[in-house]
Amino acid sequence: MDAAGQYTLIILIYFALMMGLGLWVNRRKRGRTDFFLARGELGPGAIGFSYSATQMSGSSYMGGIGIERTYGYNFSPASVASAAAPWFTYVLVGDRLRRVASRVRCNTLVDVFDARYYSKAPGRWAAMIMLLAFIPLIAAQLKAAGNTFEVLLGIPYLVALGLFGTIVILYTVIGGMEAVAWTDLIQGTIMIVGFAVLAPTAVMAAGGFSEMHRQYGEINPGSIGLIGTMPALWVVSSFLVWGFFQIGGAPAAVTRFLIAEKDSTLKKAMVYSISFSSFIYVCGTLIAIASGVLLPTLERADLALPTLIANLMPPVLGGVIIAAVLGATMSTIDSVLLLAGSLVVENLWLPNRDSETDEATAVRVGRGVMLTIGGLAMLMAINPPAAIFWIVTMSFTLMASGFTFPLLLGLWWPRATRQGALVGMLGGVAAGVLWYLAGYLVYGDLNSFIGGVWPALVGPLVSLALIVAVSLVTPAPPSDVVELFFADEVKAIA
Amino acid sequence: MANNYSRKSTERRVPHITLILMALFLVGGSLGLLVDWPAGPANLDWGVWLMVYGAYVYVVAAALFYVKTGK
Repeated sequence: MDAAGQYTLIILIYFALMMGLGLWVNRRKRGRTDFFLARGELGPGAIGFSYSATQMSGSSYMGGIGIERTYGYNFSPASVASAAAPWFTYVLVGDRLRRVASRVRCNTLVDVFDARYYSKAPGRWAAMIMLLAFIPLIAAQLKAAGNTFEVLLGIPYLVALGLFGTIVILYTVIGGMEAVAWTDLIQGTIMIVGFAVLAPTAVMAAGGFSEMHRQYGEINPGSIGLIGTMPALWVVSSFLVWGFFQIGGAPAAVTRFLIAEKDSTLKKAMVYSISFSSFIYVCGTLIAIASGVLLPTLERADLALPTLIANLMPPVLGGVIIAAVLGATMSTIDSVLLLAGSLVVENLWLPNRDSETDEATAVRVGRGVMLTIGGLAMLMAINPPAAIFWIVTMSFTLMASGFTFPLLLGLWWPRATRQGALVGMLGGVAAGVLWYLAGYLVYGDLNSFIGGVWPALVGPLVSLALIVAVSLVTPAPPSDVVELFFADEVKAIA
Repeated sequence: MANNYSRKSTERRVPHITLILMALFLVGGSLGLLVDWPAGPANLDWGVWLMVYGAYVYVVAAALFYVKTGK
């Protein structure tokens, strides 16, 4: 059997196992809360890996390594920040979200917005922003998978796209959250093994750690240090954006906090998540630098990882690593699709129903939404507008700008009002989009930012200013809302 | 809106030390990126060693501190 055949066989076995797991989990439940959340049924390992696998996505493997190969250590602070994202998100949001979810019915972040901002308006706008941002996010994952199949299996991109997209979307529609979280755990384990093998192999092939960096510095002298190829503000703002602002920028991952019922479970999950992310990002940096040395003339940065695998790994081992990469893309797609289905059912459809709706109908509607969003993303992935990483960044900017501070201040600042949240949410998104457009007008490129400052930094900061300003000039939140969200602080002060 | 929860069961402390560690990570990290670091081992400058590889150790240690102490 040739290399492409071996890759195909391993990937097929992998997908069959994952589909089997989805069907097995599916056999014993189907209330809509079970389907979308699986609350209380998962341990810290499954939650922690699920958070990281959702957060990291195909962009971390294909796109992230491609970008880091180009920008070298100029981009590495963003990777470090991304590994720290679970720390920020768990400590600042996760524990409070879990407590709130134990008091009021919360299946999605929109439920949290509804309860905290005593109005449906911020939550509905949040749902629409998320649905809009999910399409490019899923499209980027599909592109990553399509590129992988294209390089390793030698099949046309569009065929690969259709094959992978159909399997993952159907898998998610069948399985629901519990299946997704368990497969995330399995996929996370595969990722660790795969990168643990690939990183040292690539470094050795590039001449060893020290020699690899000497060569990379000669090929790409501006990227061997922290600043050089990219301006200082670009590096600093990427560092700030990819850590702290994942609080709002990764709502599908944050939904994992609603799964845990115990504080101890959540804390252990954080340690699993950060350790896993740190390991993967360190390996990713080494693989990226090695690919800069070993593949200096590669034109499409997104192909660096699969090309390196094809060149360095025996097909069987390469197939396992590719299964890990596909696992990352699959984790993100399935989590995002589940959140999309949950948003529409729980926050847009059910509240507008006059009569009692049975659970099976609600799940069917959710599945229809997932198929629709997934289908639109597949259409976008046919002719994607940019490299994987930059598509993900656009999606991330919308959500980070819209949700970071409405969520954070909603959980930590009793004075935040619904008017402040709504203006901050929409103003932040508008600021992020306008910053993109300004960069495009000046440089003719959506990936170049004025002064090097990332739109995902500008949007949230504008959002913060607007929330604070508008909240202070509008009536304070009702006392029952403050009691519900801040009773512990009130008690501690008293 | 349901509000019949136990206050005792939801008491919590603000993790002051962890918040300080986070601020140090963000502010110190941003400033550290602007420093012109001297050359270090393995053809990398000390900035890469501290602000990239060292920062991973910092984050994992800080997270473990929070889990162990809750502070």
